[in-house]
Amino acid sequence: MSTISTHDTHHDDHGHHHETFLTKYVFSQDHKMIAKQFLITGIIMAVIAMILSILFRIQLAWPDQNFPLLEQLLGKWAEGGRIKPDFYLALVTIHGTIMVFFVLTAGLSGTFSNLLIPLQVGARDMASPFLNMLSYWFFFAACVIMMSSFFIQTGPASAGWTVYPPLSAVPKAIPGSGLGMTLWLISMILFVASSLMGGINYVSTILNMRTKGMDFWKMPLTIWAFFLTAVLGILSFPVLVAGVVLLIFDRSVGTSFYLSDMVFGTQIMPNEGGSPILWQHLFWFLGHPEVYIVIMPAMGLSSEIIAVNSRKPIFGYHAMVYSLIGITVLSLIVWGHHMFVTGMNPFLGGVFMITTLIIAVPSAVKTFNWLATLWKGNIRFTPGMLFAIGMVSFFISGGLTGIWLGNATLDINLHDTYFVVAHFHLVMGSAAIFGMLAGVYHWFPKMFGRLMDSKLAYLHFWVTFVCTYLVFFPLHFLGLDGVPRRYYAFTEFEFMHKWMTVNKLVTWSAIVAGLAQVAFLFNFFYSIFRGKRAPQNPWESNTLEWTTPVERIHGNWPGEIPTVHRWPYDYSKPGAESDFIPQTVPFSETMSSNLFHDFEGNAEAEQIQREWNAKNDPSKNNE
Amino acid sequence: MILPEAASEHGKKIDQMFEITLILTSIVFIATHIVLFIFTYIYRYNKARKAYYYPHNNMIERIWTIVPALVLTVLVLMGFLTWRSIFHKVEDPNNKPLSVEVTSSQFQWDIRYPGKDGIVGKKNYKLVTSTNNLGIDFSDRNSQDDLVADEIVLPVNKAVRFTLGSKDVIHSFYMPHFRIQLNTVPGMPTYFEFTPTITTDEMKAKTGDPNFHYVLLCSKICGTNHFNMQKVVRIVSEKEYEEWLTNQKPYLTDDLRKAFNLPVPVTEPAKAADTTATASVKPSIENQLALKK
Repeated sequence: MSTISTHDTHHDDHGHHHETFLTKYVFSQDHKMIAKQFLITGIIMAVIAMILSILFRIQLAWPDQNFPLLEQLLGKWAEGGRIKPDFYLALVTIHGTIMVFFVLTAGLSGTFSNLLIPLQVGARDMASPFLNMLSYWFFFAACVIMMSSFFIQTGPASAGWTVYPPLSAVPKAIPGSGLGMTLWLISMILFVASSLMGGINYVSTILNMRTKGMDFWKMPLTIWAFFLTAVLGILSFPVLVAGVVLLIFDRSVGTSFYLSDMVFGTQIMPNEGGSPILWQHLFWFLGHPEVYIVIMPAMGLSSEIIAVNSRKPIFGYHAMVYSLIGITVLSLIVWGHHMFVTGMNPFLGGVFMITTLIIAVPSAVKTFNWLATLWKGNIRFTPGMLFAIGMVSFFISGGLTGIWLGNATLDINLHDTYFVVAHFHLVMGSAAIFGMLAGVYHWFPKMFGRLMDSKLAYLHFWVTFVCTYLVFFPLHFLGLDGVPRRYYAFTEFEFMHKWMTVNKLVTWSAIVAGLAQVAFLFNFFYSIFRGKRAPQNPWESNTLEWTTPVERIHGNWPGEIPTVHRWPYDYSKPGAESDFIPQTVPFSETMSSNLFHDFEGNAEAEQIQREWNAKNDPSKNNE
Repeated sequence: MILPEAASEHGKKIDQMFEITLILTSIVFIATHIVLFIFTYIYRYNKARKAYYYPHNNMIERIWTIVPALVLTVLVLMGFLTWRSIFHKVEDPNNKPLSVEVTSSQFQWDIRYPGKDGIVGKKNYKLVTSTNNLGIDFSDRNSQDDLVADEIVLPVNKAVRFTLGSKDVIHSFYMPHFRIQLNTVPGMPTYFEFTPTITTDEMKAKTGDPNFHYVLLCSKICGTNHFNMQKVVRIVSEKEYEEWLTNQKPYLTDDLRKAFNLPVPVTEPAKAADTTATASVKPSIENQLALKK
């Protein structure tokens, strides 16, 4: 499905080897094509997940109303035009799974790591193009298997995206824990295999295949973010597989890793000695790094886009890198904050609270640095820039409530309520989606050689931005009032009745936000074929990908790979002719704007600069 | 305020922290957003202008690393100490908390009060039968006087310690007014001790809602009826509590006595109560259904 829309309308095949439709568009080993495959599959999955969310939002807003259309669409799962409780839980579960794993992990990292790593570090392709192709097809298979669970008798997995056993382990507990759960687990194993193959490729490409001159401190922040994300994925995803395999054993072979002391009705289950808490540890050992796997690429993309469009260097480049490193390391030791009230030893809760609140520091540094980058900039409001600014706004709004939830004491009352729903939808949901959309608008010309329509993009941005806040901001207050999440209807508890009108507002906002995505989808697919032709460097950006030809040839650069001479953020440098100096421009060509700091202690270069300054601009030698 | 009033001792401490955190984060939220929008407005594109090349300033960066770190340290310390005070209670032998056991299952809560001995007796999931739905081990003397209750009734201003358990999947014992939430886990008992401070009647007056009642809900996804797993909680005066308690029936019925080879007490005065108790296990479920309206 991803192949149809990626036609290269003006490809310039150098013909060094034969390419058929199959090798070019389907089993492609070219990183740019694989990136597009990831992106389009990710977009399709995102649309599916969005439709699922609108379905359950309809149920929440009008729990007493029948919609005959729903029965026609969903059959027995919406008998009489009303979604059934089991199916509601399935919708919530699959929405979460698709968004977290398929859209925000594969769709985001898969797309932009694949596209940008070789282009921005100066490599002809990934370290292992074949593995890269497999990575996509494992991901595709995972998607197909996950979606196939909608077409089986007992329905998709419905134990929540965290699939806590025993609910997920015992089919008697909920119908979705039958075959649907088995498919979920198989899909997840394929997905992890895919993301490991991707991750290993990203890391080895960045470590080994940087072009001449591209040392670590000359890499754009995008590359730093992808690199650390991949490292984090490699360290944490295997743990999820271990957990999943044990769960498969518990379900299919009769082991008791997670199960003990269970009675259903009066039927005493034979499992003994396991602990449901073990699953939670294994799951969140991935699960928490996972949210940083989701947000870090979005941070990297936004950092780059904000710098380019502010026409200013990113403020505190080193601090940005160190804070990413800090987040990476700390994210591996905070998983317990998802488990404060699970019955885990309270002492552990205290320890995890400390590590969790420490991680807020690098996050704060990043935020302040973005704001400082905007200060005294010359901001071009390209669509990518708007979405990057939106990303910063959501990251602040959602990140701050993390300080509440990371505090074990406050979490007692807020855990598993709508407050949590509001928190993570803002900080990792909306922020990451906005980072991803920023990336799509910004690098669309690199992917397809054309520009997207900016009027439609502005419409898309404003409606989405406003509606996203309208959807998620009110949910905080439901949570504070003690409304738990994953409730099928607010009809049974009197104290929740007052929230029914809010639910309607939220659902309407979600529907409008959903419609706004049509503007994006049309713009995206239309522009692939009919968009305005892009110039080589449409945003006047410094990074290497814009030195490749618009035609996007196999091997990326027609001749030699360019050499890198400077960091990627020389925007509006005093003394320079234009307000950007690409990384490929040597210092010898920019004598008027060089700073001694640029030479990193190279005495010879400093000496030459000093002599040049003495001749042309003596005032600069004073520094 | 945004939160409903806290009706427990530790709940007040939580709310204090809540307010401090709310104020701090609101300040940051508003300030950063003002800065974000003002900067984007003031520094919008102008052909005549050139952006200011300003790659870094170590002093500023140090400040905005250290200041958040300090603020967070304060929050962590407060949180840590409050957290400990909630979960590490020092047992006072002269003033033992009231012990109540709550068992969750799809989709109901079963409440067990200790009898005169003040101790909730042992149970074992392997003993579950249709008449002994909690699997109470009546060969344990402490179990024999345990009482069944179809609502949670607690005396005000007296510490109570809940022992939580689950029969099938994980549920979560959530009482928002008391700022209590703890998962119930099959195979692993969990404990929460707290002191309610406001009676239901006082709360009715405070909220001006004559229908007000405290709720217990399930906050961990547990299956089809997760959204409707409720129990009424009543906080009453010590006197009302004692009165209510005398009306509660023991779990141990004549049938169960036979099942556990215990002597069926023909002469015991409690016998009269026992005969009615045979039927009282079932009504507890019916009552719950009735609550659903």
